[in-house]
Amino acid sequence: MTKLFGTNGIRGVVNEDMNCELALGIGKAWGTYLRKTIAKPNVAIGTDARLSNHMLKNAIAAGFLSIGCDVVDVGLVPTPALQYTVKEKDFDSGVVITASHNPPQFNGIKGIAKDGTEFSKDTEETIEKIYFGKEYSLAEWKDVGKLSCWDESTDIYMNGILANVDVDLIKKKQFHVVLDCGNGAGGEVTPILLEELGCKVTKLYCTPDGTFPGHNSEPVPENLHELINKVTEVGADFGVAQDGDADRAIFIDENGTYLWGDKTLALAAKYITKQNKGGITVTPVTTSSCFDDVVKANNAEVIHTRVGSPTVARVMMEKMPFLVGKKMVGLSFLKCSTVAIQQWQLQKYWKSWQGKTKHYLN
Amino acid sequence: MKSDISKHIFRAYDIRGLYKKDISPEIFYKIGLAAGRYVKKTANGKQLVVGNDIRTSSYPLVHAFIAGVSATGVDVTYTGTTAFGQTLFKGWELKQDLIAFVTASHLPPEWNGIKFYYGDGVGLPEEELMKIRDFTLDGEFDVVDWKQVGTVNFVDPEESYKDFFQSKFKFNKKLRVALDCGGASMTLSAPEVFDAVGLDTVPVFCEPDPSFSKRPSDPKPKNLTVLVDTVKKNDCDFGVAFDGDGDRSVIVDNTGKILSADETGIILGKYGMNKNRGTIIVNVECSKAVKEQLSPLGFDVKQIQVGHTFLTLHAKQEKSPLGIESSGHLILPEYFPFDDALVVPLKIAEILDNAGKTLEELLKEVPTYPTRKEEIECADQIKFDVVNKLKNVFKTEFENTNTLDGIRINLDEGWVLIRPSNTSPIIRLTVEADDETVLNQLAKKFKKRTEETIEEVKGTK
Repeated sequence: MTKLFGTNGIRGVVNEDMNCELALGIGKAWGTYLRKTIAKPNVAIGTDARLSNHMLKNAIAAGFLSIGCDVVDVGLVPTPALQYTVKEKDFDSGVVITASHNPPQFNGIKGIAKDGTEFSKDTEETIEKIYFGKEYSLAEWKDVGKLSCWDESTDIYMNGILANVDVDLIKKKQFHVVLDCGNGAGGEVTPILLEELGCKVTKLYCTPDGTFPGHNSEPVPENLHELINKVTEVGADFGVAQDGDADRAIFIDENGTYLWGDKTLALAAKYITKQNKGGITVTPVTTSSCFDDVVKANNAEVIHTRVGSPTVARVMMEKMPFLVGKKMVGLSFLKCSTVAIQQWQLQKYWKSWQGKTKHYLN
Repeated sequence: MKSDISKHIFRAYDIRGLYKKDISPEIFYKIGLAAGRYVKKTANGKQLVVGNDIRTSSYPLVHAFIAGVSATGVDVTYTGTTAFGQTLFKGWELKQDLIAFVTASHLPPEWNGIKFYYGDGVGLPEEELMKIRDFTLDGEFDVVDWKQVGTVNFVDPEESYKDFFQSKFKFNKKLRVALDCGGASMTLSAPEVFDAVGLDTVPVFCEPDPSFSKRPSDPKPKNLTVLVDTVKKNDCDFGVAFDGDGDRSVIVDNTGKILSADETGIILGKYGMNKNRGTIIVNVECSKAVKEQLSPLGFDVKQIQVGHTFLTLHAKQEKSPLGIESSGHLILPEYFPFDDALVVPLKIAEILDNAGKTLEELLKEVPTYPTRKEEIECADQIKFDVVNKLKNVFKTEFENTNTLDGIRINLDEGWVLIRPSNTSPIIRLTVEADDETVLNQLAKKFKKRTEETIEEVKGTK
């Protein structure tokens, strides 16, 4: 069992259990792990909007550099943008400094593997073992890594999404969307993306701010009153809320109804399995049985896994189905990339079903 | 908490050590915590600028340092990999509370370290550096909670630095200058600035070379043969070489003669001050020619102890137009108060642009006296006692002495300086005289006296 890594990376309260010594040590352990198989690994590091991000980013970067890994700082990005960058730009690993939806005093470290998926438990265990044993392979002065900055990560992410959704179809619909980024990492890229898709965007809390002045960053109903009211107030087609690192999206329908992740997922699964005339789907055991119901009705198979998006992604890649689900709406599509382009894909389907929502849900 | 950090990395002017042996990212993280604490407690501030030279090990060290500073709640502006002057310039321009630069100056590439300056570019004196040392070693840091963690911003100083020089220097002639950056940090600024102000540059080792494979980063005469040849071959108006971080420069005249820092200082004082007058700061190792040449022009000349930190400090206090350190640090406060060596060749170019004479011709008007420097071995434990004993004896034996830094004996036919090295187990003997014969006599006599005193002190221990 891993002691530091939980279901979604390492988390803790800043400058208490989540401090620079830990980040520096993890950087060294992770770098040592990469150096076992790669002579000069390159690592991309991105962050969400939390106040302690720069501090922890510098500490973990120092660790990687001292082992001899080159580091590319991609700045403030949604987690999926970093995942997509790692895969598309051939990085050996990716690091996200984020505590996802946790309160602002938290921060954390999320590991991304070469293929853009989150770290497997095995990898996390290996890194922890090196960390606790302090078995670091420190580089000599002439072999330490270099750090550079690169600010095109969100651009390639956005272009990747646009290349994989039916832009013309969505544009034709001229949707009005209320977007609540909760002052998280999606605040800069998501409004632009929706506008590129011809949507009218009513923005709530789209300025990244690590104090989360709008509301708590977990997209649960009690945090989204404003969004829900706004959708009906402005007569929007739907509302969407993202969590702190923008790897989860929650939808509000045109009547202001909060849709639990399972429902949205089932909706997407129903559409896709129908289009595909069956197939295999993968989802964790926590997912509602409404998912199984709709998928099986379309003659598709369901494989259940342990909880955690890395596990789901790995099973998905093994079985090569076309849809992966994780509770609370994380969707990954193999056809474009194993990386989670998640909510955007979902929006495509969501948008194409406009007006038929009730029909499908019933 | 007991620290495993060696005390010896904390020197009189900076922190330095061998990468991986004496210094590491962990240690630089702690130095960052200590620097942050120093900014808050002592400087009563909240902002720090840091940059690093091109040494390979600067990357892990500077990022660990930044993490430490940020953890104390102090905001960091990071200038990236720069020449020394670019980071100092940015800190001065932004009026920061403390400036830090990761470098080991002219030392070999496996070394690294860090230097600290006040916001105006004046170096932290030893007693202030020792506060940072004590903060580092005692292990009590002011780590703040999540809400107060310091911000980190990257600011590239390149453009504003170049613009500054462009606004200050305009030449009528196209002067040809051989530029030797030794592959070190000045490769990042000097070629571009020279180009921007309209100099015709002949580059020597101007490609970044973090292992200093082309020449050692110390611009000693024996390391400057390529520069001297380049000046001669290309009929350059002059040449210039910099040290590893860019706070020392050496000028070569149009015939290939290497100028001492004193000679360069005299040229700057005689021809480069326009109507500016005031007190010129020189250290006790400087030639008597400095005073002889500059006093008649209306300057006061103040002697201070050795160390570039004192140079910038005294120059600031005296509002000096010029500061000269025999080791090669020169400051021209009409531009900025710190010892960014890039300004020196530009000022020399301005002088030549106005003078209508070659540098060789200007130098002919400056007398040079024969000098000699000797290093006398003496254990660290007794070197200060030896020099103190000599001080007491010579103060009564000679009429005109000066004990600012060791003891300097001023004689009619020359002078002698005996001082303990701050960095090595040696006592330094510097002698200057009107001619070689007197020089030999003085050097021999005072070397013997010093060695005898070393034996005496050894005997009593």
